[in-house]
Amino acid sequence: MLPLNDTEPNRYSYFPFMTVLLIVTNSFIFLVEVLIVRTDFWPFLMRYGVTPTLILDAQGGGALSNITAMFLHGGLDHLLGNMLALWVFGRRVEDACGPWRFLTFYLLAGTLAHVFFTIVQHDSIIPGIGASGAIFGLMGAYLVLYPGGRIRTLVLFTPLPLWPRVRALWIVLYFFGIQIIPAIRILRGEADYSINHWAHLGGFFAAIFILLFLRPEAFARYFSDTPV
Amino acid sequence: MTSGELLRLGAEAARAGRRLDARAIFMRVVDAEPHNEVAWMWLTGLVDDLEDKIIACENVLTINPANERVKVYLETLLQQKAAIASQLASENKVKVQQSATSVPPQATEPRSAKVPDLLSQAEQLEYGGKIEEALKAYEQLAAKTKDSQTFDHVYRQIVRLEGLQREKIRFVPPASSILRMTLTWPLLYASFALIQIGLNPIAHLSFFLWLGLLPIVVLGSFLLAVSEVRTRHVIWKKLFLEEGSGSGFARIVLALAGWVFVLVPFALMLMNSLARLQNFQIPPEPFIR
Repeated sequence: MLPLNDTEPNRYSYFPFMTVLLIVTNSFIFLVEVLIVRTDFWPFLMRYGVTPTLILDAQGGGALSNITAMFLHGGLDHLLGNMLALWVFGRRVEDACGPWRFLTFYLLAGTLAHVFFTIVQHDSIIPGIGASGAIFGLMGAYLVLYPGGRIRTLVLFTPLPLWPRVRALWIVLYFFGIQIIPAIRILRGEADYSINHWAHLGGFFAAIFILLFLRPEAFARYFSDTPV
Repeated sequence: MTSGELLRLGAEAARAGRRLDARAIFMRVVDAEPHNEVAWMWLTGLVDDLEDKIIACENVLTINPANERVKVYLETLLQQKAAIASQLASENKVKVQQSATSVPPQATEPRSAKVPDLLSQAEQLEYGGKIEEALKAYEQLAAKTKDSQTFDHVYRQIVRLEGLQREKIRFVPPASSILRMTLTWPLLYASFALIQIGLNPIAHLSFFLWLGLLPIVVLGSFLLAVSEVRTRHVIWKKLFLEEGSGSGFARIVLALAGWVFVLVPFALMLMNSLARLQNFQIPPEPFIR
């Protein structure tokens, strides 16, 4: 199941300036990773990724690495998947918040993702990178703000590919659900995964703060049972 | 391009202050669709000539005779026209009598001078949650104003408030919006500070250093929130000697100050991170299955 686009229009702004800027920045930094860093990847990741043991020892980049890790990706598929999800779920969340508070929320979700990851996998020496924690925060926020929203989705489970408009609730629950079992197995020490499932869950829980970040009118709409 | 798209473009141009472009776009719409009420409505505020304004209003009323606001506006325009006609007549009479004195056109000044006050009153009613009264005040203002830009602004406010009423949007006090929005940057700053000190405030006392900078972030975030939420606030009077909800200039200055207060503590923390990175010994790469 691959979400492609949110077909609903914006209410408050014409252009999702910050969402596009984040996509461009992530892509540009990935190009820098590929073209300049290339082989010397380990020291680069230790400096600019989030490594739980280093965070807990207050070593390395700390808050700076927390930001840079959100903009690093391990491969083209990692980048494309995250940027597609950022576009699908970020555009209308930005519309409801305004660009700068949207950026603040995005960074907060990414930071809480790193906090969860660090607490749960406290003895890990493997650095975590990627925007997915922040993007899971956006998915949670989208669900809070637009529970009835529909997302154009590519479904590949059927013999022929279909692209229906699926309720955002099912898509977000699907992506949330596939984190649960691996997260429990990590917690019980039964398995290691290259995907940072606890960061995803941590980012998702950041959605509880989304109401703080809304524009005044969007906030009033939220509490008036009308579409945000 | 459809008329809907043209209307949107025209509205954007009008809001951006490109009156001539906006007028040209709405003229295209009414050329194609002479019964487009919305386009004629916009034209009532965009055309300069009094006669043209009257024609635009009459066209709106031909299409929709129930449009009360335009009726009131048209009455005002007709009064203006009559006043100008009588003024011209008296001037002609004076010329005929070969009088050398000329009377400056002051007849309309007292009424237009009241418009900013009325606008401020209407805004304050809205910020106080008295939407019905605010709507009435805006409607009176629409009838009073002679400046097409003010009329556009007032008309947009009326449409917006009517929309809020129609959708039964609850009133949220501006003070609570300011409080809510003020919490955003400090929340992010506190989470950064936790990461910076290894999630352990007891083991790393530098947390209290970063905590000491938190009030600066709170102040900056508060200034940003005040600059965005439109309301009467003591800050406008104290800092800018302005009544009402702050001018555009005051808002920009306050927002800039807010950004400085917010960003300085973040910048200090990131500089500290950079210093830590410079002394950082990179551990060897582990064997990974």
